[in-house]
Amino acid sequence: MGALVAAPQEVPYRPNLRIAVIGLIFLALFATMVLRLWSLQVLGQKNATAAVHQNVVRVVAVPAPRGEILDRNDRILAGNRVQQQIVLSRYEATVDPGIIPKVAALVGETPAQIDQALSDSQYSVYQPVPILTGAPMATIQYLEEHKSEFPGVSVQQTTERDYPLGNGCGCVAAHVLGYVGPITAKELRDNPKAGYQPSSQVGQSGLEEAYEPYLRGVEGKDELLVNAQNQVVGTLRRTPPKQGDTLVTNIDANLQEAVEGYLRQVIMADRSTRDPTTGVYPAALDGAAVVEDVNTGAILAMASYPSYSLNDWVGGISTAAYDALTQGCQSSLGGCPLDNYAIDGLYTPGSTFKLATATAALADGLVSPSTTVDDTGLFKVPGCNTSLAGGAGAGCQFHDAEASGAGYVNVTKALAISDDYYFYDMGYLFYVDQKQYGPTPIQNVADEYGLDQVTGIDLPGEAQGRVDSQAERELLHKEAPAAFPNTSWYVGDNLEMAFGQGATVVTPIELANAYATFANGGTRYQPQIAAALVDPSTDKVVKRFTPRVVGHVSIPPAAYSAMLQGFEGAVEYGTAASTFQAFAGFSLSQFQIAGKTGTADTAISSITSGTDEPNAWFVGFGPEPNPQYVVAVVVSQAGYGAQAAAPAVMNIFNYLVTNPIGPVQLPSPKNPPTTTPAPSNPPAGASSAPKG
Amino acid sequence: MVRAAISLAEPRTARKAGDLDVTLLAATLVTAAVGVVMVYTGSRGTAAAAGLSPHYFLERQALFVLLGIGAMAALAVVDYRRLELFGMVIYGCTIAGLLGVFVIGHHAQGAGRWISLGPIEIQPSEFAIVGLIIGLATFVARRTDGLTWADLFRMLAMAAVPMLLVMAQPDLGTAVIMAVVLVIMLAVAGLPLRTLCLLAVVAGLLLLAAVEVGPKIGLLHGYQFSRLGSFLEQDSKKPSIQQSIWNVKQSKLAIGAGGLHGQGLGNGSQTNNGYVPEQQTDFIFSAVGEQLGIIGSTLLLGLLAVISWRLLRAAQLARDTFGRLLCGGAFAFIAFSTFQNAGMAMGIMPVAGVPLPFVSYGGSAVLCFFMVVGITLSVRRLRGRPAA
Repeated sequence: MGALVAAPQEVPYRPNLRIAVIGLIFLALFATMVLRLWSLQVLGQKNATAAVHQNVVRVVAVPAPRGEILDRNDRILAGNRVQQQIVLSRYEATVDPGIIPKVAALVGETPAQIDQALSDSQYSVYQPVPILTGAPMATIQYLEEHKSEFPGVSVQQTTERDYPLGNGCGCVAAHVLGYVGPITAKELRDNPKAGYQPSSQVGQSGLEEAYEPYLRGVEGKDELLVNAQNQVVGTLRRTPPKQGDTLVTNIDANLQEAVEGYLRQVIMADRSTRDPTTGVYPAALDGAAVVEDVNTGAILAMASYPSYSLNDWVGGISTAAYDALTQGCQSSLGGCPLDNYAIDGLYTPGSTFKLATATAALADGLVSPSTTVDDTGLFKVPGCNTSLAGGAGAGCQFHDAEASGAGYVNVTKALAISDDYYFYDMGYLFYVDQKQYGPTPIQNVADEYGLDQVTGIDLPGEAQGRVDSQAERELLHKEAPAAFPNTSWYVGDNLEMAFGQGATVVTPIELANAYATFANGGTRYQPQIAAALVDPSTDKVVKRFTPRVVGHVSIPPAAYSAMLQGFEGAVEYGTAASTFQAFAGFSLSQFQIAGKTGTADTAISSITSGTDEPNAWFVGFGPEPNPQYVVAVVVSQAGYGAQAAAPAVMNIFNYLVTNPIGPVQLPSPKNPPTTTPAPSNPPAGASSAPKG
Repeated sequence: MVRAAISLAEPRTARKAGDLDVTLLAATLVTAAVGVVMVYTGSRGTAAAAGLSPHYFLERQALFVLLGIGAMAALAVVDYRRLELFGMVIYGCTIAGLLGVFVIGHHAQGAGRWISLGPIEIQPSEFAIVGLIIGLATFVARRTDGLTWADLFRMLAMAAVPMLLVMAQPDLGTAVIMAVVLVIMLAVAGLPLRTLCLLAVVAGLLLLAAVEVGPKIGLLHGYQFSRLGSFLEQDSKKPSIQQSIWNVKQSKLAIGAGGLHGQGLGNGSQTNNGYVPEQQTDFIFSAVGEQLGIIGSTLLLGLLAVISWRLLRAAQLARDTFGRLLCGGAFAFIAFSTFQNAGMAMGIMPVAGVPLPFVSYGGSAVLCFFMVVGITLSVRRLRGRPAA
């Protein structure tokens, strides 16, 4: 093997050249690094700075206290309560797991429950986890005195819904107010721009849902500084939350409580009163009551039975509580506590529907106010072909349920004594004279009263009524061919429709609004619960809800006074006279009430067994001649309207006579808004980490 | 004429033979001082998070630098030619130290790199580089008749032993530094260019083989290749290399956020919040970049370039083979460590952790860097003088 490198003294290999080349190579490497620095630090600075900022800043939403909901007299229906909340830092719990059993003992839970709370993804990982909300003062004090023993445990203040009325039962106006709950995945998806967090609480029903955009307020923002271990090391900026707007409603809290009480009372009475003809106790499954200002559409009270407590939802409803409210009730059968039957209950209207038939007959000139019909007790359809009509259910002969064989009756008497025979005749006459009046003269007027359309009340989940007609039958047949086999429209169907039976169903709010329309002379307002939205910090009115006219019914003056006399007669000498004269604490001559009973076969019973008690209605308005209120009460499967519903209406008027409803008062400065003070404790993770 | 042109420039003040290289000394001391500050700002966040005093790394690094200066001074005063007498012994000792890791090694970060002697932890791989430089220089200096192929293979074997040992720790970065030291020293020793090229080809093939076989025989760990690979695919979604990609990404962000003049000393949020891992050691350059910006980092790279230049210049000026090779090895050690460390932090070199000379935290590394500068100072000081 020859020499690879010659001896230095033999051939000088010019080390200087080599070393210089090596130097140049490394110079190039260093130059590359400087170029790279240029690209990173000069060209890439902006992006890098933004990414670094994203690294260290975590924005955490601070929920805003919800706006309060007030009644018309500045009383709080739904307010906020500041709660002491014991929270535990996730970081401390990880570093020192020994704290978990200590905290568990402090708040009276098991360590497993604490572990569960710590791993709950609902809470932001950058915020301490709530361990106990509504902690007693003694625990808070103990914690303050023994701070060093509980590293990572601190006390925060939080707000939750508070319902001061009814001794805090959470039961006053529960359906109207609605509950607040965690946002659902769907709601979060459907409102991508609303700025909701997965932990957001949103209105899930009632006014809380309808006015969610106003009530929710503006979330605050904590911009937290975190390190690579996700420990919070400080707060960069804090934007305090802004409380939601105060919602002033037309509801009168005292009236509301009274109405709820009377509704419950009448239903209890119905359930314990045996039906003299069938011998059974009525089911009286559910019911509703509505009190409306006939001149504005303002809803003064609204009740639904059965009810529930809003308190169940405060701090999150338990599965057991929710099951208790939803199980054992099917919305198709009734009796569901979460349903607001005042707006989503569809009941057969029975004789209350005669409002529409009488208006149509008089306004279209089918009869005059003085036209009489001889009630013989059994209405035989002239020239009726039994073989044609008999199989179809309606038949050719119609019995008069309440006022059998009343003799000659005009429209006034027919309304007062709820004479079915008279209205069978109207149905018959309209049917045979379709050339002149068209195929749906009664339905047209019912539509003008709004009985077949949603009222547009500012509550979610309103059901739409339906007035029977051939077109409706065809629709129903398409939806459920078995239940509605017949799509023909016979004379008998017209008769049934004319006195409020058949496939006609209405909601209590629709019916109340229809009578309010009559009471004020024909102007249909949109029922409204909200009166105004007020900024809680300035008490400035953000939005005022003025009466909104949505339709008109033209009623000739002669017809109007004849019908009004009939409605007054119902209370004075007619169907509801016994109820009102026996129990009213006021004289009708001082406070003239008008009204109409309704005793309606349930839609179900007409289809199935026919053993159910009828739905009981009473709708009254007054005081005439300058009516102010309309009161509608319905109880399902309860019996005759005069006995099973009218007592509640009478009691409500009793209340209104002694406690007249005044104008809406907007909040005065003496009622300062609830605010959440910012937590005085720094985030728990900050104690052990250096400040940035 | 030619000689003058290729001779590296020389400041007028250091012309005189036997002078102390003030430039080298000053640059070294300034760099080490900067390093102490950087170690402090880069470590106080992590130290506090680990429950240590924020000054923990600062105090220790300052102590290491003082020890390093002592070692440098001692070696600068001693005649470097005495090292030749013990060259092979020194080399042998460092190999023994590497073997010791496997017997009484102490694991940190999944790599057994340390030997604990009471409160002192020694990283033998750093000393092994110095041992290799002295060993190779001694070997060549003793072949006064030139080098044969057999000599070359012996030298390759001398380098291969510590390289395989550090790779088995596993410490890929140090092995790479050793390889570069070997190549530069061979080049300085006068190995013909074609032989160097041949070596490069063989080395490439060996590396390929190591990649294929290494993990199977436990010589290299899978994660090391993941890291190497991550350098080439910095936007990959492969889970196995996410950690190294993340580390380099955070490091690049930190440097980028520094901008022109940096966030200011002690201000970088990436640095203070511990987003860059190993920030007092392997990724310390990101702390420099974030806090001092392109101006500061270029100045720091400039200081290290000056040191490298003075070492290379010392090799050029050395009158004997031993001195020239020592300086060449010292140059390769410091210059390439700088490129590997800073290049990794910038994302232009693979993730294989080596210390940034005089700046990264670590007693063994600081001591070794000062030692090679001390030796070089001795070579400069004694050039042209007869052996003592």
